[in-house]
Amino acid sequence: MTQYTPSSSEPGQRPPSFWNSSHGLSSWLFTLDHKRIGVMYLAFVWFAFMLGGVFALLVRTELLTAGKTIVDPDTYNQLFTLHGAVMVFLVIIPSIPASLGNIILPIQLGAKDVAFPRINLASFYIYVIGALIALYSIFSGAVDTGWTFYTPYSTTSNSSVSTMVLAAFILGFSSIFTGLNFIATVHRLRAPGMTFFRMPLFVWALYATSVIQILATPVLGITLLLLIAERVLHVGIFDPALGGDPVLFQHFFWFYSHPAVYIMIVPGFGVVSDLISTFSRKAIFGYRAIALSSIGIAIVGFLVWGHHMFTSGQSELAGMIFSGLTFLIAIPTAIKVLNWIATLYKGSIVLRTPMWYTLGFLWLFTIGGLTGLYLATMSLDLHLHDTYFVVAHFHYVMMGGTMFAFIGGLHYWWPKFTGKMYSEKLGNWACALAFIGFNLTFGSQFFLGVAGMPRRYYNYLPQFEPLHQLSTIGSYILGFGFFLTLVCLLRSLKSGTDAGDNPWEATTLEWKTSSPPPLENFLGQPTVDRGPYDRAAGGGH
Amino acid sequence: MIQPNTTEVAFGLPAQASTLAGAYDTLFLSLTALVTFCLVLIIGAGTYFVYRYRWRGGEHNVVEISHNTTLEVLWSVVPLFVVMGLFVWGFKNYMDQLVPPKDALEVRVTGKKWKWTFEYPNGAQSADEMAVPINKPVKLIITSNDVLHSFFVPSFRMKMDAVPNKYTVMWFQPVLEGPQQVFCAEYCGTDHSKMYAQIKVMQPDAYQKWLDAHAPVNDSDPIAHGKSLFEIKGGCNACHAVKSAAEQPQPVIGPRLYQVFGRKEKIQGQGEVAVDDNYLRESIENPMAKIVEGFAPAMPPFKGRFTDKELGHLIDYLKSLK
Repeated sequence: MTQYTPSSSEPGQRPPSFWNSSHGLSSWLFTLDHKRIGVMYLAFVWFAFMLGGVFALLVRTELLTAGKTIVDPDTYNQLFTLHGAVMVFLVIIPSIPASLGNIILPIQLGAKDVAFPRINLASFYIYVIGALIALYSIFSGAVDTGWTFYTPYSTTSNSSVSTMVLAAFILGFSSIFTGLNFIATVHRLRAPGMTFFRMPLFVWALYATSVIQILATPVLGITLLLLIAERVLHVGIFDPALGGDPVLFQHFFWFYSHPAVYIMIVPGFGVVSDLISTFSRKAIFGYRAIALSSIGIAIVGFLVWGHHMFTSGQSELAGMIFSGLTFLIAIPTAIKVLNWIATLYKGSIVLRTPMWYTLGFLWLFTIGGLTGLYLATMSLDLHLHDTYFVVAHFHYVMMGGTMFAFIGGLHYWWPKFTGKMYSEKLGNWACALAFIGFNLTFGSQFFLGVAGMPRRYYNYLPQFEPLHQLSTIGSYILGFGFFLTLVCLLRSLKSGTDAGDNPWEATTLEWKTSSPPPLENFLGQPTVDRGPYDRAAGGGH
Repeated sequence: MIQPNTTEVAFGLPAQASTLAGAYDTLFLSLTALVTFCLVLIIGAGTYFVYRYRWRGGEHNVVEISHNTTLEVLWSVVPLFVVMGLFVWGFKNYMDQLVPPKDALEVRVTGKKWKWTFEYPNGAQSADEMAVPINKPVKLIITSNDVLHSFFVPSFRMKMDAVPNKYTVMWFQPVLEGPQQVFCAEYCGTDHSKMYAQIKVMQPDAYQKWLDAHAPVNDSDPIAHGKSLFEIKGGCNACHAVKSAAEQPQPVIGPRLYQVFGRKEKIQGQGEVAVDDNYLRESIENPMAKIVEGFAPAMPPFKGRFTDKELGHLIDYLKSLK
């Protein structure tokens, strides 16, 4: 709770919301308002999410039978590559930070905008350019390397690898710009009285994410440039035929891409921390532990990339160090999960749509996290590496984790930035279908992997067919669930009831301003004198 | 193709066909017990709290608990010890799985799109299948001719990447007689999912017979020698059919080589070319020079892989495909 008195509290005298503060297409295309930029990001991320989802459903449909079902092997290889590349670079990485973070982070800090609004807009346009180049690559000989672009396959493939890699390179800058902005905003634009330990955990999580984005993304950029240099100029870096080393590419790639999975999941931790406190109607348990464990994960996350290479012929000593450090990451992650569970204890748990997504996240992420232990155990990884077990683990963390947190957060902040409340019933149905479909799709894949089914297979042996079919049926339910989510949210724009300023009785600053907020978020300067989740009416610590 | 295993361990783990598979499964099942315990604890507590403390309307009655240092230290330190235990156990097993005994039989394994080939110390060669004597340690020295592959034997609980210009090592001691399925586990293109092989585990006398049957073809008979080069050293039959379409419908990734000599090929952007000795040699050594219409430029160059004599015998074999 905070000291914030709007200069005018009469609804009739409220200033126009950021949706109505200016009009016309150019007022959106050239906007510097973080909320409008966030909304545009949100629209593009959802578009990309649907595109990546269609690719995924085509992949699953092909796998319905052991032989050919709908497409030939080369098309299948392109489909799973595009699914991975679109979902990672266009959906998951920008999902929470660039859309929800952009809209909410400055308001949670009591700021008028991010520190560099023009860089924020540039980040959006760079994202759009990168996305268009990625789309173009689909029509100019779709890339078939897998989203990991492993050499020497990627340096010798005849598909449009260079175009897709260029897109990923450009998208990296969009990610860096957003991270840069958030770090500066957190350091410079906090409201008076908002110390670091009074920041909401969503802000802490985005802060940790931004640090990783700024430090790791340039490495990806360099790696991708080297790849292009090799393909176009035939400089021998990774291709042994030119005197290079293919395993070097894996080191470079995972030096970015392992921290990148924390770029993807840590914002989800932030969303869930805020939501679990709000819907338990009590302060989060172990605030400092959750805040600092994000930073811990960000640091150790840089030192574990070699666990992707236990079977690459990497030295046993290196493998041992990477395995040990990987296990260390389990600790801050476990701390978070246990703190969330402890927050539920003796709370007053209000089961609304965002909370159902949060609980879905908790269950799925716990499974995703615990199955990571198998892969961190070097011996067990020798059998499970590059099988469906890895696919299942990755999706439990990235989709069950990040995407459930993203959609939960979207339902949570939707009434704030649109001013509209969606149908609770439809929201619950969509969440339930996604949860059931998700577990059918990916739960079955753990068993496929244990039985020895390798990933990225167009054909498979007949004994794997029943589990593959279960997985495919699950994917249709999952896809339908997410489609209902979109219907639920979009329908509320037309027929939703007015949400009110604080429908969830939440405590953080964004709920103190009107829904939707005005152009510069607050009418006066809010000040802060207590923690973010403090519900005590008369203050207290 | 191997029959589905009838002696699965649990959770779909295939039969234990090597000496180390048992130790692997003990670790796997122990971790599964631990993971199940944690899942029940975390998800059980979460579900119970949600049910027990759900809001039933009216006032929100909550008990604020900001933190509990004892509990937090406990749930940080106990998992730390547990995962360190896992780390040590996993590392010990890993070293057992990775370091071969000194007296192991050495077999060279080469991955290429989309075929595994094997070469024994006595010169015996094979493609798509290898034989090993039961209860004897075998060391595989693995490499690749083109892109990355990975030699994966689920019933041995083991895989190792095949990296071009580098050797990696994998070893096993088979204990179950019969064929063991090999997969390629590292994505390698069009027919990645057909890059199967079998390890046939045999009694010593059967193994010896197999070795004799796979003795290298000497170069006194050019066509037989060329056929061996085509199927094993080159692995050309992964992409090129050598019989008529009726007799051998697949593969069609590269041009069909049945009656190839003397026929006219339509070349992309270059008109027609008559297939002669020089054309065949160029197409082996530098296949990108002339791409036949209707095919993707997918073949890796084989320049330097064959001696002049071998090239001659390969071409002799191609001429014999009538």
